[in-house]
Amino acid sequence: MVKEKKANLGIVVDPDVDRLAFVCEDGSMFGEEYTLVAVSDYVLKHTPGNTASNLSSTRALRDVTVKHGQSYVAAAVGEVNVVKAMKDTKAIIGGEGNGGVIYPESHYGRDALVGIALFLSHLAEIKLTMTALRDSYPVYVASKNKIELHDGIDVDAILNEAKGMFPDAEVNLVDGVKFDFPDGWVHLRKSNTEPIIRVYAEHSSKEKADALAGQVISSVKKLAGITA
Amino acid sequence: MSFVVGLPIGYVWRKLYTLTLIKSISGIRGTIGGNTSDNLTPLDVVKFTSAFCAFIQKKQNKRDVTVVTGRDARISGPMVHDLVNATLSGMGAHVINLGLSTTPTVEVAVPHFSANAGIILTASHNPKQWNALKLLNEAGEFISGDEGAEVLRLADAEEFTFADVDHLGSLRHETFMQQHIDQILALPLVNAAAIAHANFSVVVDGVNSSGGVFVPALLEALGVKLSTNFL
Repeated sequence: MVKEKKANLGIVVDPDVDRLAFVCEDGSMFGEEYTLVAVSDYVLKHTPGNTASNLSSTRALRDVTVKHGQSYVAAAVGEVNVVKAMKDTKAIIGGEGNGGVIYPESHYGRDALVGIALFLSHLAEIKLTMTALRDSYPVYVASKNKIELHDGIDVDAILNEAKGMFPDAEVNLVDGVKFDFPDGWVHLRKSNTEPIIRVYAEHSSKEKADALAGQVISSVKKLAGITA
Repeated sequence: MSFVVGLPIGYVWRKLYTLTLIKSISGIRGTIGGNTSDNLTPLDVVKFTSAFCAFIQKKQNKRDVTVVTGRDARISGPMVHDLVNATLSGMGAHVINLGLSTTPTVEVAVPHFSANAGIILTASHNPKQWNALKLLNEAGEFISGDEGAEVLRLADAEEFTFADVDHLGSLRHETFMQQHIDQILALPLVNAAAIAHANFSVVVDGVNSSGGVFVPALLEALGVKLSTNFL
C-alpha cells in the first residue's frame, strides 16, 4: 500500500497505541526492533544520555548508544522492569524491541504517538529515505522460537543446567538465561502463562540467528528428554 | 521428571494454560462470557475494580479519590468500561472517563488531572474475546509488582466496602486526545517545522482501533499529509 500510494512511509500501531512499527517507501518493513533504535539515535544526537531496553531487544540499541558515547543497560522483560532500569540509570530514552518507545521527557510509559513525533523529526532532519535510514544502522536479524514442553518438566532445572552450554559466552541470569557473544546473542525465557520456553536469538544474518537458536533448542530438548 | 510434593508441575501448568482468567501483577485479563472466576465476567470486573479502588483509597487515606479511565475499540469495551465506571462511583471514587482512548493518553491524563490512579481497558494485540484491566498509579505509571499482589489479595478476600448514598462518586467525560497531542508538540525535540517542511506522505494502519483516530490527528497537527488511513 505504501508503495502503491508512493508514500514516504507507513505507520502501524497496536490497538491501544503503545507499540509502533514503520514500513519503508518500497513496502519493506523498517522492523519493529528498529523503531526504538532510530528514535534513540535522534534523541541522543540532541540530548546525550543513557538508554535502556529489555534482554530480548535488539543489540543495535546498545551499538547506537555506544556510538554516541553513552551507556546502555538491559532489563528483565516487562515494561515495569524497563521503566525501573531507566529511572535507576537516569536514561534519557528507552523501551522495548517490540516497538515500545519510552521517553521520560514526556512520561514513563510506552507511547506510540510520542514515538511517531520523534521519528518523523529524525527523518525530516536527516533527510534520508526510510530504506537509507534503516541501512545506516547495524544489521541484526532476530530468530524468535519457542519450545513446547510436556507436562511434568521442571523448566527451572533445565534452565539451570543450560547455563553452562557456552563456556565462552557472557552469561546474564537477570531473566532466564542469556548468552552474549561478540557478534550475537541467544536468550532463553520461560513463559509464565504457557508451558513453553521462548528462545530468541540475534545475529548478523537470519541463517546465523536461526542456527544459534537451533543449537540451543536441540540442547534444551535433549535436557528435557524431548526426542522429536 | 520432577514433582512438587504431591502436585506434578505439569498439573499446575495445565491449570494455568487452560485458565482464561489470568491475574498478574500488571493487571487482570480474561475472556468475556462464561462462568465467574474462570473468565473476565462482569462480576470479576466489579470485584477487581473494587479491590483496586480500595487499594488506592487506603493509599491516599480518603474515600473520594479520582480515577481516570479509558478503553480501546474492542467489542466488549463499552460493557466493561461502564461496569468499571459505575463500580468506581459505587466505591465513592470520582471518575474522569476518557472513553475510546489510548494507553499512553490515559497515562498522561492521570497526572494532568491530579488524579490518584488510572484504569485502561485493553487486551492489546490479543483476539477479540479477550479484555483486561491495566492499572496505573498517581503518576500515570503501571503499579509495581508488590502493589499488584496487594490488589489481588484484596480482591480474593473481598476486602472492600462501598460508599453510602451521600458519598457516591461523580462521573465526568473528557476526551483528552488534543491535550495529549499538544503536549507531544510542545516537546523540545519534536521538530514540527522540519516535519511540515519535509512534506511527508504517510499511510496509517491503526488496526481498527484508537490508533485509527489518534494517529491521523497527531499527523495533522504535525502538518503531515495522510495518504491512506486503514483506521
